[in-house]
Amino acid sequence: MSKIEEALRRAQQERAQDPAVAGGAVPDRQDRSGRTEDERQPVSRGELVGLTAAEEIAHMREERPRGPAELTQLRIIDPETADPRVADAFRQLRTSLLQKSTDSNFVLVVTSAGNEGGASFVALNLAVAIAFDESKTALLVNANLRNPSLDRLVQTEGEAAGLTDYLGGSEKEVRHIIHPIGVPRVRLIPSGRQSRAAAEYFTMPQLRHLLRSLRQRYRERYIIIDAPPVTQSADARILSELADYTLLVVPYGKVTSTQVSEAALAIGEEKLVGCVLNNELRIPLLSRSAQRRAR
Amino acid sequence: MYQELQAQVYEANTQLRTLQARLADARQRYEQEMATASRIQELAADFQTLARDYEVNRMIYEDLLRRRENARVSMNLNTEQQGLNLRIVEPAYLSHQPSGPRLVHFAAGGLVLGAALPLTLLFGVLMIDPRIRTGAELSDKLGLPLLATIPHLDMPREAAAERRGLIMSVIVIVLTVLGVLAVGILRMQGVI
Repeated sequence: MSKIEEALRRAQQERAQDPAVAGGAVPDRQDRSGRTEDERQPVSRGELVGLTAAEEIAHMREERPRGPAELTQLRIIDPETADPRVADAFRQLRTSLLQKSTDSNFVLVVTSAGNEGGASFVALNLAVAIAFDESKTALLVNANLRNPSLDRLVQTEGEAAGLTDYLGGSEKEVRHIIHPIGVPRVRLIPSGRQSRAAAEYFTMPQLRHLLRSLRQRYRERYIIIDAPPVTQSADARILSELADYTLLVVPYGKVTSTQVSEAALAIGEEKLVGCVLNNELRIPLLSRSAQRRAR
Repeated sequence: MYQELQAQVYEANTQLRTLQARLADARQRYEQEMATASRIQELAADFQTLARDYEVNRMIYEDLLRRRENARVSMNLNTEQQGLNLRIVEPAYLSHQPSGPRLVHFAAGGLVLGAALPLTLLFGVLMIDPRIRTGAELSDKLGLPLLATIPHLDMPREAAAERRGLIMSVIVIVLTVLGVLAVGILRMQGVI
C-alpha cells in the first residue's frame, strides 16, 4: 500500500503542476469530465502511465464488497478463508501466465476441453488471483452466451447491459457494460441482454476493436474471456483468434486424451498457452490434514 | 555119641558155611542195590531235565499247531472272501476341533475380501478408463504445457456432507469388524 500511496501523492503533485494531465486520470466509473473512454486513452497513456494506473487502481473502491461467506458460496477464492491449496494453484497459474506475457498485459481466452469443464470457474478465479496483487486489475468477459454462469455475479439491479448489447449497437459506452462483482479490482462484462447466435457477434469487427481498446487503456488490466467449450462450438476458436493466449481447461476424469488433443489442435499451437487440470479429486482424510498443515 | 557129636559138628559147620555164603551173597546184593540206587538218582535228574525239555517243546509245538490252525482258518476265509484282517494302529479318539476351514478362516477371509475386492475393482476401472486423471498424462503423453492442477474447491456444505459420509463409512467399517470379532468370540466360547 505504501508504494501506491506514494504514487498517489506524487501524482497529485504532478497534476497540480501540469493542468493538462488533470482530470485525465480517473477510473471508469468516476469520469466526471464526460469524455468517452477512447478519448481519454491518449492522456492516460502518457509518461505517468505507471503512476496513473496505480492511482486508478487505488481509487477502484468496491461499493458493495462481498464477505468471505458470500465468496465461498460463489466459489470464489479468497486469500484468507478458502482452501489454501486451491488459492495456491490459482496463484501458480497466474504467475506462470504473467511470466509468459513478460511486461505487457494480455487478453486470455479460457475454454474447456469438454462440457461442464469448469472454464468459467477457472476464468473467474484466475481473474481474482491476478487481482490479489494490488497493482493489477482483471476484467472478465463473459463470452459463454449459451451458459452465461458468470452473469450471476453482477451486482447491478435489473438486467445488466453486456457484451451483446455493445456489439449489437444498443449500448454505445464501454463503461456501461463493465460492472463490479464485489471483488476488489475485478470487473465483469456480462453476456448481455440480446439473444442472437454467438458466432455472429464474435465475427464482428467491433469485438476486435473492443478488446484492443480494453487492453490498451490500462497496462495493468488483464482481460480474461470465458468462452464456451472448444469442442462444443466454433466460438472459442473465433475468440482465440482475437486473443493473445488461450488456456485449455481439462476437467478431471471427464475427457479422454483424444478429446484433449483434438481441442488443442482446434486452438492451434501458437495461441495455446497451456492447459489446466481442473477439479482434481482429493482423498478427504489426506487433504484435510494437508489443509491443516498449510494453515 | 561121638559120632553123634561129629555129625552135629558137621552139621553145624555146614550150617555156618551156608550162612556165611548167604551173608556174602547178601552183601554182594546189597552192594549191587546201592549201585543201582545211585544210578537211579542220576537217572532221576536226567529224567527231570528231559521231562522239562519235553514240556517246553510240547508247548511250542502246541502253539505252533494252534497258529497253524488259525492260519488255516483265516486262509480259508480269505479264499472265501469273507474275512477281514483288522489291525489297530492307533486307537480312535474324538477330535477337539473339526477339520477343514473353520469359522475363523471364513471370518478373516471375508474381511480381507471385503476390503480388497472394492479396491481391486476401483483400480481396475481406473486402469481401463481412458479419461485423464493426472497432470502427467497431459504433459508427458500429449506434450501440452501444464500450467497448474486445481484441486476440487469444497463448498462448506459439500465439505460437511463429505465429512459426514467419511464418519459414516468409518463407523460402518468399525461396526463390521467388531461384529465379526464378537461372533468369533461367542463361537469360540460355545455360546452360539
